Formats: sequence, structure tokens, C-alpha cells
Amino acid sequence: MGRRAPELGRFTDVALLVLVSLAEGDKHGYRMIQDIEEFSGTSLEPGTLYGALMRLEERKWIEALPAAERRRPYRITPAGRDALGEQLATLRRIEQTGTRRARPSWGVA
Amino acid sequence: MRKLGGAVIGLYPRTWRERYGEEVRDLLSTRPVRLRTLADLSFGAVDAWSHRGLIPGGGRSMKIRIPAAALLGAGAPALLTLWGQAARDLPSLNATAAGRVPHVLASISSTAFVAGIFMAVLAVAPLLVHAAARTMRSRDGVPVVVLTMAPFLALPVGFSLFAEAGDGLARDPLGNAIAGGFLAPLALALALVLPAIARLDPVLALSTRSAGTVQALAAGMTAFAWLPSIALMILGSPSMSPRFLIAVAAGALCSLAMCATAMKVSLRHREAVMAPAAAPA
Repeated sequence: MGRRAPELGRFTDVALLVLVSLAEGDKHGYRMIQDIEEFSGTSLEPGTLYGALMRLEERKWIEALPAAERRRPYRITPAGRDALGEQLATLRRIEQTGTRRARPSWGVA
Repeated sequence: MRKLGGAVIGLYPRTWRERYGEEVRDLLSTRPVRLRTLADLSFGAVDAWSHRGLIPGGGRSMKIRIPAAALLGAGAPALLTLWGQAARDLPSLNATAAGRVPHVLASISSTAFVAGIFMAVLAVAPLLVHAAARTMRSRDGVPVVVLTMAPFLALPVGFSLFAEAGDGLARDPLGNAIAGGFLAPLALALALVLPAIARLDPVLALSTRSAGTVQALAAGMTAFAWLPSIALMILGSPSMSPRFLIAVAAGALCSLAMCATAMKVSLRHREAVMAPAAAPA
């Protein structure tokens, strides 16, 4: 996930949010949207969410559990946890570099 | 709105609906459905069709992959040839049915085709401004190529717009309306060239992404514009020759296929330049 996979495309950001949400525990679509809104402020619409779920399932980073009525919970797989860890490490590097570079500096770099 | 949302789910591939349809319907029944939700679901349907192989349980389809550029490149001469066949039959081309309805339909169709061409052209304006700003700092690289290519593409695209907006190819409402269906995909295909080049440079990412969004909408608008044109054709069909009807029907199919390809390519331009980190809405 650190490298941009063409299959994820514009869903890369959403996929990360979904993996973070599922890392806490199994959730169905409605609960995932609520959780993602709470921790990131991002309000996902169903088309975007299920576009990302489709790709994550295809890569076997999440798996669907048996449906309860009309709601099907999803679970992060060990491969999904690895991919999440890799992506978070990349984000940490970006954050550290960005913070360092954003500090006021004197003279030309 | 909720009912409309349910109708949009019907546009997804069958395997997708069997796998996710119930869950999404449940989401729509428990959350507010706004215009944004419908637009998101519509984009999702296009995405699901263009990535059918990713649907779990759907199986990998054994399809032959044809490059989009080849499809658009082959579609352009095919459209011009079909237009040549249709335009030769002047009595059929001028066979607009009497009454107010055909004129309203022709007006909707022509306006939508012109809007589609306008959107495709305006989509690249921020990209050109961005490329010009970069060129002032450095006189090499992708921005220079983008600026150099622009005038060559502007000429045929400008001709398409002038011809459709100014009754350049046909004076009768029917002829003018369907001429747009033959010209707009050509303009769309040419307007895709600049974002295709610009996506190679991450510096132009933001404007390439916005160009991709607007051009996808332009392709959708052009495809929509065929609906009133087809209604016009049906109304006037008793006085049209079979040869004319076949040429226009084949042209409509070719035009719609080019619109679908242009939309897919535009969305791909958007995807290729997305930022790697998650951004809050």
C-alpha cells in the first residue's frame, strides 16, 4: 500500500481510512462511515466506500463475515494489517519531513 | 431522493448488485440521501463497470483489452465517415417532424452537445495556466510540451465548437442536433491529450485532476445529449431513408462508445494523480 497500486487508484485514501477503522474491530458499512467521520472528519458516501471495500476484498486485505439481516460486517486480515502498518510508516516519514521543512529557516536551502 | 438512489444501484453490474446491493440499499435507508450521494453512486456505477474483474465472486472476465487511445483514434475517422454518409441524404437530414416538441428536443440536444464541448475545452484552462506559470520558472519538461501541444489541438476543437454552436454543418434542427453528436466526441478525444501528457508531471497534479473530473462530466453530458437526438430521429423516422437511419444509428453507437472511453480515460487521469495521504473532507 506504500506504493500506489493502480487497482486502488483514487480509492487509496479511502482504503487507508477503512483499514484504520477495521483495525479497531469488525464493522459493517454504516458503522464504518460513522467511525471514519468521527476519527477523520471525512464523510464518506456509499459509492466511494463500497468502491474501496471491493478493492480491499479483492486484495484480501479485508474479508466479509456472514451477513446479519441486510448488514454484512467486514474484518481486517493479517495481510491488511501489514499493509496498514506499511502505509502508516510512510505517513509518519512524510509527517516528520513536512514538519522539519515547514519550520522557519534562514537562508537558501 | 431515496427512490432515485435505489434506481442508481440498478445501474451497477449484476454481480456487484448481488454482492453489495442489499448492504448499500440498507445504507441508503438509514442515511440522508442528497444530490452528492446520487452523484457518488453514479460515479461508483461507472467505476464498477470499468473494474468488473475486481468484484469478489464475479470472476475475471476474459475480455480483450484494447487501448483507449486506439479506440478513440479509430472512432474519429469512423464518425466522420458516418457523418459523410448521413449528410449526403439531405431530405432525411431535413426531416424534422412538425410541431413544437421536435424543436424543443433539438434545442436541448444542441445545447447539451455545445455544453459538452465547452466543458471539455474549459477543463484544460487551469492546466494551461498552471503549465504557463511553471514554464516561466523553467523552460523545459512536461509543462512546455503541454503549452506547445495546445495550439495544435485548439484548432480542430475550436472548429467543432464553431460548427455546432453556429449551424456550420446543418441548418435544419435535426441535422444541427445530430451533427453535435458526431463532432463532440472528436473534441472530447482531442481535449484528453493535454491531461494525458500533464499527468506525467506531479507538479501539474492538481490541475490534471480537476481536468479529469470536468472532462468526465463533459463525456457524460455528450452521451446525455444523444437522448433528445434519438427521440427526434424516432419522430422524424417515417420520412427518413433506411440508409440515413443506419448511418446515424451506427454514428450514435460509435459516439456513445467514444464518450464512455473518454469518461474512463478522464477518471483514470484523476486517479493517477491522487495525493498519497488521506485528506479530510
